Amino acid sequence: MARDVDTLLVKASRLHLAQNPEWLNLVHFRATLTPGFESQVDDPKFFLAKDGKYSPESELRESIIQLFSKTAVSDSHPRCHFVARYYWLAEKLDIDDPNTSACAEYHKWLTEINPKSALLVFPASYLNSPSSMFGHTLLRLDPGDYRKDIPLASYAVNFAAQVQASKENGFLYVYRGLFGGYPGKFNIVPYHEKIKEYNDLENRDIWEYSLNLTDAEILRMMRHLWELKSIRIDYFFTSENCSYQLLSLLDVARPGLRLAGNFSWRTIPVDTIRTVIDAGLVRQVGYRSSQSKLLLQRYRRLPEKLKRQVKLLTRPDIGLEENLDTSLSPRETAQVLEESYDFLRFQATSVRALHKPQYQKSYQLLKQRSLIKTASVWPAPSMPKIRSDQSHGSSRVATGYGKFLGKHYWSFKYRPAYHQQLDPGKGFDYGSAINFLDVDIRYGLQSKRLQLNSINIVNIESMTPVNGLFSPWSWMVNVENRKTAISESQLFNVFQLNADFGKTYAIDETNKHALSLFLDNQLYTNRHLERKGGLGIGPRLYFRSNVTKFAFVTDLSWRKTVVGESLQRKNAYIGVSKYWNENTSLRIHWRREMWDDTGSTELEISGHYYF
Amino acid sequence: MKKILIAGLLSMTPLYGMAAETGPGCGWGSMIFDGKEGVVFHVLAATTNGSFGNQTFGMTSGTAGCDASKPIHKQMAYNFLDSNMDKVARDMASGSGESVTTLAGLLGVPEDKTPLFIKTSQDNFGKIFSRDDIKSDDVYGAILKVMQENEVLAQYAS
Repeated sequence: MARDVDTLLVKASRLHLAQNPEWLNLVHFRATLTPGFESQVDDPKFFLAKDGKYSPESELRESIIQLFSKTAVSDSHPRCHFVARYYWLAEKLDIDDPNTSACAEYHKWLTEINPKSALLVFPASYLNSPSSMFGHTLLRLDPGDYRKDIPLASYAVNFAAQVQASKENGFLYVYRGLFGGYPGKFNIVPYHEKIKEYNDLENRDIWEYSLNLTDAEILRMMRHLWELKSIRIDYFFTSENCSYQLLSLLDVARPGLRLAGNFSWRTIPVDTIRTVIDAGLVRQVGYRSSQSKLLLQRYRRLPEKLKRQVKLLTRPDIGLEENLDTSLSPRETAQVLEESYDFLRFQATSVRALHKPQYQKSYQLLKQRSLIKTASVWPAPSMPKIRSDQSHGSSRVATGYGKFLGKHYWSFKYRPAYHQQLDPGKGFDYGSAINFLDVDIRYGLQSKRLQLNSINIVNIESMTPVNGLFSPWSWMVNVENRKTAISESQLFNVFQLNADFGKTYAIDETNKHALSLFLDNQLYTNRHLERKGGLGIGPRLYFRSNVTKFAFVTDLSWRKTVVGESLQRKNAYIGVSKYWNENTSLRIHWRREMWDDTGSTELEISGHYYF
Repeated sequence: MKKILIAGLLSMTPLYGMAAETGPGCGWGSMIFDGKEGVVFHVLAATTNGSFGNQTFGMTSGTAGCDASKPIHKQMAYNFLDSNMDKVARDMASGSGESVTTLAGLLGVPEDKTPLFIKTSQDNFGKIFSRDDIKSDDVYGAILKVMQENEVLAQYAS
């Protein structure tokens, strides 16, 4: 029964629909400090009222007027754009014949995707790419039709910043990413494209969390997703990012959830996974190993003679037919051929190019393989016992007691993100670290003063061990401001920037113990120095050991200044950490620094808590 | 043939944005990429997961230029093959795998006939991938031909 728009407006007002959390979620309104609301959506096309971005009431009013108007419905009618709002209002206002049958484009889209179940997908980090350590989340929609058992054919929903890569330089990229300079949009691509991007090109493991959304909830979410088609929402790398926007979709799907509301200034993807798990949305978890991990695992399990075959056959100058060992069993031959092919393919993706000898060899390898009728020559890949979302909390606070230059102090530390090598390692790859804004404030017992001792702006460590197949570079970047003893009586704030390159060698494939050798390059500066600073270069040795619940790190470096101040700097650090569970640890560290002949020693014990 | 293929690729790239990163050409040449590179991106930019001009929203267009007369799911099969040639080839040669199973499903081969599809592909690998620089268009055609020559699979090869 058609209703007169005025009647609907009166009813909406009586029901306080403009304040209904479901309405606020549909239009992405968030409460502002000055009492009021603002929608996080930045595209004017998303609002029907002129002041719709700032007024839930105006937007509701205009929505009712336009969505329930008597004009003929077609694809260009607002009802066919704001499908979710239309159905929600129809339900709340008791309209018993909501009709979108004239919205051909919407229905064609919905039929094409045909979602029956949804999964939250988490491409986790890759050791040699710490920038991937924060991860990413996307949503996979599995259809209920003939495509239901072939997830590669599913669609993936992704919220991403629209970046013109070729024109962008790194610093501008960071700046714009941090301050909302990029427009973000939802896009939907075949899932296999995402697998290619994350699993293959970026060598990341993928975790797939099946959600228990009902048919009605999925439909609600799809209607809202349609509303967000081509709509710009400014992308803020730390807060309103890919993971945040997926939560806002889930909040619409299941009224009563308040997932996005848990995140204000900082949204780390793994934290959003934890929130979704805690809200009871996850049915089960699946896993896809990265290509590089699989390649290495299989290689390691091959007997020596097969390893040698793989190394030989993948050489561009070596012919396949003449050099394939004919004494091998069919199964062994199959393993050699497959592993060789995978290695060549991995090489090609690593350097982003495929050369003629490589693809000719690849083709021959496959042709040869097709002659062997044994299938499945490898054991099934195993799922790691610990998932990435089961690691320690992203933020850390710590309290310590120590002695520096003979004076005792209390220290108070805070770090919003993310992981150090001495932190509990569960769920992280060994040898990797990424930290932002690690602040250390100290209270001197003698001076009775509270002072900022150091602030570490960014610290990234990537120490992937050399192995039988690859020899990756290890590297470290560190930017900090720290109180340093430049002379016997003077403590200055020295700003320093390290960029180190080297190689890492692990004792065995567990990577629990590893030694890294670096070329350490450090730029340092302080206004009290004669030449204001300098660039020091020298060797650095970093040793790490993990034994059950202990972690141990030794870090030694020596630098001779080649430009600027003429002095030598030496640093030695030894740290031991013990953890009880993944969210608490105790640490003792000793640090000695030599600034030419001036030495300073620090010894501290600290308790760390992650949340 | 080549012209249609290239035109098809160019008009497909707005729909399947990541295909833009696979560069020109189908087939083995599709492994040449232009991704975001550089240490600077790693060090300074935990990713914004930029989509680099990706504008897709889940529509398989009938005007993709590949073959508008094909039903939508056959186009998906073609697009899947084109994007994953190296993986499909690998699975066909080794007689199993997620990529060849997915291709079978998209071609409309029912689950119980999929093992036959895979075995037939492996037996006819040299016919399907007849050259080391073969393009996906030709591979697709060859797959259909091989299916047509099998009395059980022929019905799915239209």
